[in-house]
Order: sequence, then structure tokens, then C-alpha cells
Amino acid sequence: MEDEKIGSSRMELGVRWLVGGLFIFAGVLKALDPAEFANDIANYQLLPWTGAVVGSFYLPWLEIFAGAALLFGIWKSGAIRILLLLMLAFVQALFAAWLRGLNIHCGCFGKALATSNYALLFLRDAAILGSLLWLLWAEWKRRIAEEEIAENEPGPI
Amino acid sequence: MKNHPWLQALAIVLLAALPALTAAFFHPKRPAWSRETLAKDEVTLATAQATSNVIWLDARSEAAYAREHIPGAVSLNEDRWNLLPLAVQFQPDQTFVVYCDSLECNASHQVAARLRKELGAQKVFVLKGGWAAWKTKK
Repeated sequence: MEDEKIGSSRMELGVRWLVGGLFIFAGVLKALDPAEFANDIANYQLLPWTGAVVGSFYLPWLEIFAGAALLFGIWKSGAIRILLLLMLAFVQALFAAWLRGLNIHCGCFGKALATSNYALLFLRDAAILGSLLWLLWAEWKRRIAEEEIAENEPGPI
Repeated sequence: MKNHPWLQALAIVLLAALPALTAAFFHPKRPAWSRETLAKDEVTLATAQATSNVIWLDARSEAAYAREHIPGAVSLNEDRWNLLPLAVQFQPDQTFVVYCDSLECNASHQVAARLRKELGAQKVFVLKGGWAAWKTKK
């Protein structure tokens, strides 16, 4: 497996499984009820209804695929980047809703874990964002180490 | 593709589009592409105003309610769920009309559903277009 070759730490593996599993869970809950999720997206009042409908069909599957890629270590570098961009967009939407004083239900996990407590929502998003940034940093560190090893390897005699 | 993170990302983005497209055509709970039609539990402002014995419920935030609200409306949202004032004056044929910010909000649907469940009220409707519809027509 790719992990064994490049030497992922146990902690990195744990964080990957946790974050990957979380996105799969969130994606599946929303994919089960796109009508409900479209309402949740529309609630943020950032997109027209048609945009909310498109998002309700697409975003859950993007979360599931990216989460699975992270969990199984296949295309995980791409998955980290997608999930980071998604989280940045989610945090911006949340921030915009908070600024306008909207009474929203996050919609992040469908009906499960639904809360309109902004402090809790920001805290949860910050934890996920932090984990993803840590994974990106770990990947970058490993890549540098790999390059150093490759440079120090003796060439063909 | 191991060393090209953005190519990997593109592949994931494209792959996710396949089940999303399938869901758009075949999912049993797919949302309607247009919100022009009136849902079963929605009323237009004209209908609501023509109905007698209506209690207006404001499902927006407390701050929005404090700024302005439909005259006589009671503030009720899931952050401050207090049924007592409603339960006191509740009659079985009482009509409730719940509103939130606009067409694009969902709080009124959530409050209406909870009201039906907890108060046993039958005539609970959501104002189509919400507060924005009221402000426009006023």
C-alpha cells in the first residue's frame, strides 16, 4: 500500500481515517435526502434556488468520494485539497450567515447533529479545517524527506 | 497520478458528478427545480390575510423580530422554543401561519412541523415568500 512505502505515521493514518470517515458520514446523510439539503443550502441565502438544488445533488457525492479517497489512501493528496476548499467555502458561508443574523440549521450532517449554535458550528469547522491543514503539512514534510533521500542515494556506478 | 494532487482532485470532482447526475434524475427525494408552485403546507400572503382567526408566528431570529414584525405576530423559533403562550389560547380550529426571512429560508417549515407534532395543531401553514413577501406587498 502507498502508506507503507512512504511511511505515514500512525497519527496521520488516524487523522485521515477520522476525517475521511466524517466526510463519508456527512455525505451519505445528505445524499439520502437531497430535498432537505437543498432547503438547508437555500437557507444561507447565498445561492438562487436552482444553485441550491445543484449543490444538493453534487456536494454530498463530492464529500463521499473525497472522504473515501482520504480513508483508503487512494488519491489522498487530491482529496485533502478538495476537502480543504470545501471547508473554506463552508466556513465563509457560515460566517456570512452569522454576519446577517440568519437563523440557520447548518445542514452539514443532514438532520443529524443539527444545530444553529454558531459558536459550536465554528468550533466544529475549525477542528476539521485544522485536521486537514495538518494532513497537508504532514504530506509536504514527507515529500521533502523523500526528495532528500533521493538526492542522497548513490548513483549508478 | 501519484505526484499530481490537482489531477487527483480533478478526477475525484469528475467521478462525483456521475452519482450526482443519477440522483438528479432518479432520487425519490429529489427537490423540484422550481419553487414557483405552492407546496401542500404553504399559503400565499393574500390567502393568509383573507383567513380569519390567524395567529402569525415569526420564526426569524430574535433580533430580526425586535426590529420589525407582522403586527400581532408571536416570536417562535427553535432557539427559543416556548409553546406556553400559544397553548394557553390554542383552539382546535386555530390557524397558524409561520414565516421566516424569505423564500430561501427553511426555519418556518421546521417550526410548522414541530408545532403540528407538539401542539397537535392541524391548520399550520408556511407563508410563501416569508417576511420579504410581507414587506413587498405592504
